[in-house]
Amino acid sequence: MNADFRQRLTEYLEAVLELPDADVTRLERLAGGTSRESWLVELKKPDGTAQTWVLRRDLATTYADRALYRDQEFRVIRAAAAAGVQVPAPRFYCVEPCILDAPFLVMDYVSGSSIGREVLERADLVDARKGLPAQLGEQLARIHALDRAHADLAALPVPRATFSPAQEALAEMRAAILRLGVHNPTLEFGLRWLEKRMPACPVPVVLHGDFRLGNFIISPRGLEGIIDWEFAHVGDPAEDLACISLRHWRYHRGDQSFAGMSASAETFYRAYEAAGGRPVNRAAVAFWSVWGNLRWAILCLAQSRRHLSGHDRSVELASLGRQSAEFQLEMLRLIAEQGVNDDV
Amino acid sequence: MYDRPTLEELLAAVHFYVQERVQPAVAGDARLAEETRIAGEAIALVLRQLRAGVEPLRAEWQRLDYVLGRSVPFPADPTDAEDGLLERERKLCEWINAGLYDLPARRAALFEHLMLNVRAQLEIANPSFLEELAQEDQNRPL
Repeated sequence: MNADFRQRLTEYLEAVLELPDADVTRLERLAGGTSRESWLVELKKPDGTAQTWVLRRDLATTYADRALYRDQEFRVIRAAAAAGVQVPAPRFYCVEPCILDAPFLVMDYVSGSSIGREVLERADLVDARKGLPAQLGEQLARIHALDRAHADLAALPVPRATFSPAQEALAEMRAAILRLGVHNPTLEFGLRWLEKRMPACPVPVVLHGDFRLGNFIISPRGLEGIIDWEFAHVGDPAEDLACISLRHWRYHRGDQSFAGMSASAETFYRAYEAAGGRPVNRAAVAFWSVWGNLRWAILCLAQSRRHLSGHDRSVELASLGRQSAEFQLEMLRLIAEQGVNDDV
Repeated sequence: MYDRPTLEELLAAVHFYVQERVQPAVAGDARLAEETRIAGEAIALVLRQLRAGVEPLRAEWQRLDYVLGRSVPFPADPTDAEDGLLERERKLCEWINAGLYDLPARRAALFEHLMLNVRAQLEIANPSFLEELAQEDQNRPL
């Protein structure tokens, strides 16, 4: 299958680059990714120069209605790059399933690690880690300043008319639970608790949608790139601000509540505000933290259904169903912190 | 009727095979190594659930007696117990959405129930997650 994959990729690259005799000299599957695969592609051109790219290919089915198609994601990355957000330069995309069986996009390879545990543990990244809260705050402010009306961003999902971002997000969770057909009292309780505490959001902005460790490429020099834009949408900036602190992406450093790092979230917030982000609404961040855990509790169940349905058979996807309880417990703990009955 | 190994013993043997034999053999392939690790953990989960037997179901049944406000005898057949639990959880969801737990005292009781239920699930699914949280709570400055 690998040989065939290489052959088809080579033919495609020759065609789009108008380069006969292009030679794919390296093709390696990169670790990580349950919803899509990443491949390292090294291409040698007839003139002897080489280019290294990352190709990201969708797996058989998408698991979230909100996820963008590859062409939409490509445009978001292009718009982010144009606005000075640190992203690997996007090269091209293809939505024709007949080329590589699934849509894919190709961007420049950026050296560094995006694996959360490595980012938190590697000794050579100690200085990089110190600078991250400020760098990430500044980058997020740039993302939130993207012009929603830009042609590349016009197709992003937005809250339906008359809905606030919080209303929209809860409606999506409700719909996802219905689609799954689960009757889980913890999820229902979480939804109901959130429904009574929806924050107002005067100015919805462009969100990354999955702004957390795992989606940041880090080298000893610091932040090299922000990846995985498939969940970009228009919503409450507090959603992105909360995402980075969710427990799961602290990688077993639960007591270090900002992304498993020793810095406090305040450093990140200050950098965000200094770079033009609107004042951080702490109450809204607390709401979106609970929501973020609810969302992942549901996504875990949805992932396991991909296996159970027979579409994408994988022990990893199947196991995620039982991991949902971790997000459910964290959601309940956050609700307890804020007060189960704080509204009465 | 069956010769040994028992179900549990046989599964433990497969667990040993995956962890001790397959895992080192796939060390060179990051993707396969990760999937193998996950497969090993899945077998460990099944072993924990087998060993726990019907007790967690009975405990959840009794908690539901309390939170639903009605006592129903626990089914003798474990399959009936699982179906019965699904049915009772569906009822609980309906009642939550109908606002029956919106009064503070009832909401607090429901919350207590959900905490115990989720923790009981994690005793099977990932006990080390619970240990991590306990450790963290212990170290938290007052």
